[in-house]
Amino acid sequence: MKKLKPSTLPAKRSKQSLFSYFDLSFLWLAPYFVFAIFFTILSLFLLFTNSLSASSHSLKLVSNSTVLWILIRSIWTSILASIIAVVVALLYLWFTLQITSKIIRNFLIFSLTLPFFIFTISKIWALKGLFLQMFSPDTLNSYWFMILGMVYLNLPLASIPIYGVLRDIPRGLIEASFNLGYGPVPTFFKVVVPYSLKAIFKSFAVVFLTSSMFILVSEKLLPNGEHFTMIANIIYEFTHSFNKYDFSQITLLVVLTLLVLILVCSLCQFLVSVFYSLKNHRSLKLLFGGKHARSVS
Amino acid sequence: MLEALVKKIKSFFLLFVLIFSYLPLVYGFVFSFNSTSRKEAISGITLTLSSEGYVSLINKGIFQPLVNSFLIATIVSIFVGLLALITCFALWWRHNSFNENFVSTTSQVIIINPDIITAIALSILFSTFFGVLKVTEEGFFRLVISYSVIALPYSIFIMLPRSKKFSRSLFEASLDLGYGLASSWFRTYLRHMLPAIFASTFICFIFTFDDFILARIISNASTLGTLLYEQKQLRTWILALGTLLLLFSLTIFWFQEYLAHSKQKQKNGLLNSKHLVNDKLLLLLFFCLILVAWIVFFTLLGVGFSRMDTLALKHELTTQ
Repeated sequence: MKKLKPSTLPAKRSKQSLFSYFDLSFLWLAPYFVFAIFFTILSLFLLFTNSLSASSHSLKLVSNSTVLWILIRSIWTSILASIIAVVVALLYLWFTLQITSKIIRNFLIFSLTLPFFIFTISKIWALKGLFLQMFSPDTLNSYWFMILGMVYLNLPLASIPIYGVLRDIPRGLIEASFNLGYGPVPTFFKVVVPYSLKAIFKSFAVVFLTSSMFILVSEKLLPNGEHFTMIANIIYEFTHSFNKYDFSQITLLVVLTLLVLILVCSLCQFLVSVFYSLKNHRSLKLLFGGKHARSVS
Repeated sequence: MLEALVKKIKSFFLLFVLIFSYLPLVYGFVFSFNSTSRKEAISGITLTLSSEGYVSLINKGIFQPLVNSFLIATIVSIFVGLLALITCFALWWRHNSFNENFVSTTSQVIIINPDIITAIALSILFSTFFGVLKVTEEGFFRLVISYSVIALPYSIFIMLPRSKKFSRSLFEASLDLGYGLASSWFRTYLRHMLPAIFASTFICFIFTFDDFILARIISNASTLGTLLYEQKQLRTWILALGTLLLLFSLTIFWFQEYLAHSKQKQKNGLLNSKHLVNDKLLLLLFFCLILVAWIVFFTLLGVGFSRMDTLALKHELTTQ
């Protein structure tokens, strides 16, 4: 059956004059357009121009070697944390969606996202208090506790984009994979992961950017986080000074940090997608193995 | 054999993740009943039962921040809800790929940007157009606008999928039955969107209550988030706040699950008409709940102020 185009529907009606009000759809969108152009595009544009107007004085902060080390530290810790968070969320949701009972399934998914709705600071205090029961404060001043805190705080955030895709995965696709002789583990790597790769990238990007720009981890979570400062702490401390030179320094740092983070994030995604596209390539199928490798060659 | 092992591994993994994410919350629940020292800090290691954490929620100086947060959240949720609803309706009415792409890209930019970068960009914008915020000003409306900027994309991402599912024939049937354009919009579209509107309101409240970065960078207003951030030591009322929010979310989940269950039963014909959950009744219940929440809030406010007055009187008497 031919689907009617939505735009043709109102013209057939007798109440055409009434519909003509709705035809000016750009008028309905106008508030959002104004809001988005003014507060999203213009504000980011001003941030970029402000960073470019920096003088030689403002290069001081960016060219500082300790700032560079702090940037590198916040990048590697948050990459590790976001990989762990995405993998845990993916596995959890995949196992949960295989449960047949609807109530248990809903309960499990809800209980993963529930901590998202509680105050971040009270969650941090609770986590810190719990670990202070088990360990001494000196052992908690370490990278593993930082990464654990990031994973704990970002797990609900990582699960939201993945859940949207995994919920809609066609049952037939998985059944076909089982019928072709794959077990549950190869099915996961050959069907589920490639199917939801886009959502995985999205959740990785969100978790990576938020956790690398997290103030609270080194300030509140660690008992003494002076040696574990993140790049966001430096930015946050400098924003309180209303000195014009300081502010241009900080905007330059913010823009450079943002560019570096986006670059690192897209590099990770590029590597994974290259790996997956190469894996499907004919010549490399022999290398990675697979059931039908011989027949392909 | 192998399948049983895989099943065991699966359930173990699910259990492990649940324990990992709920053990701290349980700790917070238990230790929110801890007694406090004179400086109201707790060590978090020894436990002696008392309800001081919940009592100090009432009579500590968290009322002004709470009122601020509540006001901001209310204004933001109304504004964001309206704007997102209008945008989603416009996108539903005319399928225009440019408009849809514009909306999705601008909202994704805000979602992916970390809070602190959005805050700095907005503070530059405000200072160039409205001047630098003075120390004496509170910057209330700057805060409202910046929270709307943060919360609007999430609200649109909640509302848009539901809006796309709205069937055009329902709207036209309402028109054919003789209702006007506006009243049929309210009767069909708005009614279809009600769950999404509630969800977006909830999200707005969460964002405004949780955030402190925007409040500290953009304005001088003291909100609940900034108050929580300023605490240098572990206090029981922080844990008590978290616990209260946890219980609140759990009740909402239970209520929603109950509603879905009863609707399913309705569909299967297991319930007779007496047990049907009326939509109007539900709306009335919701508004009553909001009313009760406001009444409780203001009585608490009154109690707090009266307590503060008596404390001030005592202080005066002792100094005299």
